[in-house]
Amino acid sequence: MPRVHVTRNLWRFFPALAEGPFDLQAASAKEMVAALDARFPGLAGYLVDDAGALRQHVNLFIDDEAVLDRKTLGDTLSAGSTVHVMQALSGG
Amino acid sequence: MPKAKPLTDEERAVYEWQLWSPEFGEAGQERLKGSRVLISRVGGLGSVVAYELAAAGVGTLILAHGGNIKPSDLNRQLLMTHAALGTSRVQSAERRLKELNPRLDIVAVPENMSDSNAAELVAQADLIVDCAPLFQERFAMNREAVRQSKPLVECAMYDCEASITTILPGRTPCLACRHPDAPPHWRREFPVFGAVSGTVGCLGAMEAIKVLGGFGEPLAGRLLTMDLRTMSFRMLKLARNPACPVCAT
Repeated sequence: MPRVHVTRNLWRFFPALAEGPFDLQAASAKEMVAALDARFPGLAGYLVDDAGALRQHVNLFIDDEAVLDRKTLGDTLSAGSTVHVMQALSGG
Repeated sequence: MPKAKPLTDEERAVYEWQLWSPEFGEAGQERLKGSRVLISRVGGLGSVVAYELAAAGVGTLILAHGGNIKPSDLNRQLLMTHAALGTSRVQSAERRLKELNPRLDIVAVPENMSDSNAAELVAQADLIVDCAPLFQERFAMNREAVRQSKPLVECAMYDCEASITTILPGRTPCLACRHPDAPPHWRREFPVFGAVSGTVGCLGAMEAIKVLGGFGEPLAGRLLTMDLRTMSFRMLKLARNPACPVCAT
């Protein structure tokens, strides 16, 4: 199953994310978001908009490459895939 | 690119150890001396970027940072001092940098980057280092860097996580390719250690030195991410957004 790492930045909203990374049954980025939301209800709302497109401050990387299909999240996952869910950070 | 300036004997003595670096040498040092670098905010990240670039012999630093020093700055803003609490951040930074390198030219701008000053500030620089906490500042800087075709080193952090990339307009994804919009729940103040901002600041300075000095492999089209809680580092490949509102042609 693909292994999913979620940025610590979202842990403050979903403290149980600290138990990750998570092995999730998913064959595409879209299915991975659904699987994450099933485990952490409400998390999908941070990642995608009402139409299912990746929110503009969020990035997904599959096997160290940015997903290309941000609108429908059709990028495929393999059993050995590693996914990183990231969001914009700033300085200070 | 910057115009090289010949070194004095004093400068050859000061920079002797880095002049030994292969592919850099005196020609690279002359390019640093002729360089003008804009650093947007000299806080936790920018203080360290500025200090390293001053030490390395960059000729001119343009420092943009508004406001006065607060106690909560002192865990990470290494150009600010306890004795200077309540005084101008950018003036404290200028004073500390001049102690290290009296040959350095500094343009101290007591205001933060914004839509109204970004064009003018970016126009003064050969390269920009983005260390700002607000996304409006970062987006303004990115837009102007792309429009004026200036390299932009993008440093960011949160808690013990950090990331860095180097934007070369026309060749690499820009900030808006990756993040056209700011996180709705982002706060200007967030958890961070000075050792985290210092780590990223050193990396940002090294990116600037490589781009200006014309050697090595900058993080062009690559995002280096790190989690210093676990000392995990990853190199991620970035992609240009063909519909990017800033850099798509």
